Amino acid sequence: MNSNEKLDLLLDLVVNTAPEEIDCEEVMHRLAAYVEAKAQDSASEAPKFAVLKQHLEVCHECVEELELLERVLSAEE
Amino acid sequence: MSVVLFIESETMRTNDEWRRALSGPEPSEEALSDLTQSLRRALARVYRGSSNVAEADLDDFVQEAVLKVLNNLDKFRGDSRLTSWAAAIAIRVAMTELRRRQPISFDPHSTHGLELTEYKDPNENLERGELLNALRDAIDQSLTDYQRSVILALLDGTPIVTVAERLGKERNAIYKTYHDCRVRLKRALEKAGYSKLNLVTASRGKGGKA
Repeated sequence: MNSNEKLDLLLDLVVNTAPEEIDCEEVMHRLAAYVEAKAQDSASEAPKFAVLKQHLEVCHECVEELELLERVLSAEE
Repeated sequence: MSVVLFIESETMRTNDEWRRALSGPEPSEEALSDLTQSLRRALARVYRGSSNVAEADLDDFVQEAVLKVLNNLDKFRGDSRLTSWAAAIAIRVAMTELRRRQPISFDPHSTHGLELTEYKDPNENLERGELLNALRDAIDQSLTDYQRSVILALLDGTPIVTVAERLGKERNAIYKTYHDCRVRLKRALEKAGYSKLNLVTASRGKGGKA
């Protein structure tokens, strides 16, 4: 990634920044409830997941872990 | 997506039963064994066939994850199955170690690397180019050397755990710095005349100063 692309990425991260955010440790504790809710469709849109989803907008490592947890908890097609 | 009942019959406990079995100075050996097997299956599902994860690694990850589960039982809210929550912990343990192993060249004292070269947006979005120039200025003016080095490392794809270890900090302290940086940069852009609405618009490629 060149310098301009990094700035481009940073701009999106800055735009998606919230005044208060939960950290990765807290995300880890909340992730399973979110994945189980997603499996039940609309439940993942509940307000209680808003801060978790905001964190996922700015933290690719937690997104990676979310995808792995989904793989663990979901049935293979 | 349907949730698989990967938990076998031996782990068919309610959350309260799990809590009781795992709490206290002497957790139930049967529950510990069931939890260990459950986490082993979970990680095997993720890493089976992976060339950089040996069977011994899986055993180590599971062992560490079980300890972390026991030490964090009070953090379990009960809004998922306990085994799902424990699987999230096991994945964090495994990914932290695997990220740590990545060969990364990270100079914690470097603050260079975000110089904006001639900006050419494929859609000739000059306003976004203007905003990126403002962002570069904000990085120079609003962040400390330490903050710049953290943000640069993360933009380079350096794992948070690696940044934390090289700087002698905890992972969550690095996340706090990362958050502080973004808050400062956002304020600086708003102060420079880029409203919240226009920041959102610009991020989608339409650009605009207030």
